[in-house]
Amino acid sequence: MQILVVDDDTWMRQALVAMLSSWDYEPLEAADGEEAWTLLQQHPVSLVLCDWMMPKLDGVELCRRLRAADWPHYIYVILLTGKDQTADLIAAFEAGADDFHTKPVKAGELRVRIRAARRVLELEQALVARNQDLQGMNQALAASQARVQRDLEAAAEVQRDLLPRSAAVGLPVRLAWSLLPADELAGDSFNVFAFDARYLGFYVIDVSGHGVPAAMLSVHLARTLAPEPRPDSLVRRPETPAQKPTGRLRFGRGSPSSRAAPYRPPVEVLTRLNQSLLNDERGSLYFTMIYGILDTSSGQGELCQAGHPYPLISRANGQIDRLGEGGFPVGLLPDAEYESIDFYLAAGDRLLLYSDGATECFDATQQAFGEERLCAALTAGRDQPLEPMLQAIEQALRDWHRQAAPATTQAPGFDDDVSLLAIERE
Amino acid sequence: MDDLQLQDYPQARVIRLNLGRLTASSAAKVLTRVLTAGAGAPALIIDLSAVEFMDSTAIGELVVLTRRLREAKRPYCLAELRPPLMSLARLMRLERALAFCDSVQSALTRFEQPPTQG
Repeated sequence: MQILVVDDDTWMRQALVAMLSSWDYEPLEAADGEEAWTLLQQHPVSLVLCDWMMPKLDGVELCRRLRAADWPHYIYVILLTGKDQTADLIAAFEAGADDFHTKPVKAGELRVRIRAARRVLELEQALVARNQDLQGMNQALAASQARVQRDLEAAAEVQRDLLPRSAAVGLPVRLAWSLLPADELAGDSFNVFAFDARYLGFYVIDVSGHGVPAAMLSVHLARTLAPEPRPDSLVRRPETPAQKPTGRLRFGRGSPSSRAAPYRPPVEVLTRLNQSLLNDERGSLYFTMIYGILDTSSGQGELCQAGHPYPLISRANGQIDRLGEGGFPVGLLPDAEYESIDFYLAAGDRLLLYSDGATECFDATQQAFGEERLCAALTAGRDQPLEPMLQAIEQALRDWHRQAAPATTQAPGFDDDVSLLAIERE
Repeated sequence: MDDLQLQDYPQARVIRLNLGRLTASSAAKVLTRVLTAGAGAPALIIDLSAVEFMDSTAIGELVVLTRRLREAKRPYCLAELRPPLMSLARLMRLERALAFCDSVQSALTRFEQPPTQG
């Protein structure tokens, strides 16, 4: 350990240097504060033994200058002086001295004081090393977090790509939707698609839980429920007859005319999904869902409700109809039987599908937004075009939830994913 | 207060969940403890009167618990669900698949053994 001895008294300085050498330290010597300052710039000194009274720069001033500078390691200072008044001692410590030793120097006492200094310096070095380790770990953690965040953002982008791309599905319907995820990734998803020039398919899904597992299942379901003609398609009949069905369309499993339709009935789709998910032993997720078909030419529709909130129809005359009586979620119970719900959309009628994140959106008093307020918002937006109406519902939910957030929060996140899908028949 | 409170009757053990919210973070652990706490009882009455909110994961875990009880042929009843939770159970048709009771008392009555003859 290098120790700098600073004293204008040559005899004293040399005596100290000899003492330190005999104790196996590496002494350096300076005749005043200025010379000491120069040496401190050039050598990795850990301890300074410094006289108080010196020409040019005295011991206390050297301490002040030393503490004001930025050193890569701590420099311990022991002031040597004949002063022993309390006020002097306070002045020395305030200037940045670590210890105080009154002259004449007693070898034994100085030796133990230097040992004590060494222990402090070793602790300080250990602390510096640990801090460096922690900084390294923090940097690694930050890099890892940034990588996870990038992955999540990329996954969220994939999820967004699975949402309907355009409201123009080539059928006489207007569409509007909104997805407000609680986290980066959503467990909610939905889609609207044309089977052909007449039939519209639609679904909304809410996978239990949040985060990556829920999002992965929702992505898997989006692929499973894709309407593209494939032999293994779950939603499209394997062989679509070339001829159009004749007469009034009747929905329901096994009805004669539905055999000619290009789609599988919703009850069949949900029954298959339920079996498939229960057979999959990889996870314990389940989901609620509404899957439906609309014959856009007649306005007749058929849907299946699997534990998802009750669909609402806003009639052109202002009336609100609630569809369904509940149904088993998908992937929760073996042998769950699903029921078909028929509905009719006249021109101008609007069907609203939503996740429970909307009705169970809580305000500051833990009061839920609820179905009644949702119906009221639907009625209030009746005279607006579909998209502004949906935006108004979304805003009402945000306003409701904002009351639950601290006043400083600019954009409070929802506790659960909120998805809204509205279909209006032209 | 412990989040599970047990009370034994001749015909059943009542396990009361002293939790206002049962969510993804707690449901699996709590309901596994319910299963363990019910070991050896002739029947299990799970008193849910204190539970104000259950998220979808907790509902799923509750269904898994009842499935395990059924598989083990252990009679059970979910008692005193608050109205919002009962509405959710109806939405999911769970009232058709799981055993519910309006009150702990009615569940105890349900599990009462008929007096043995002779």
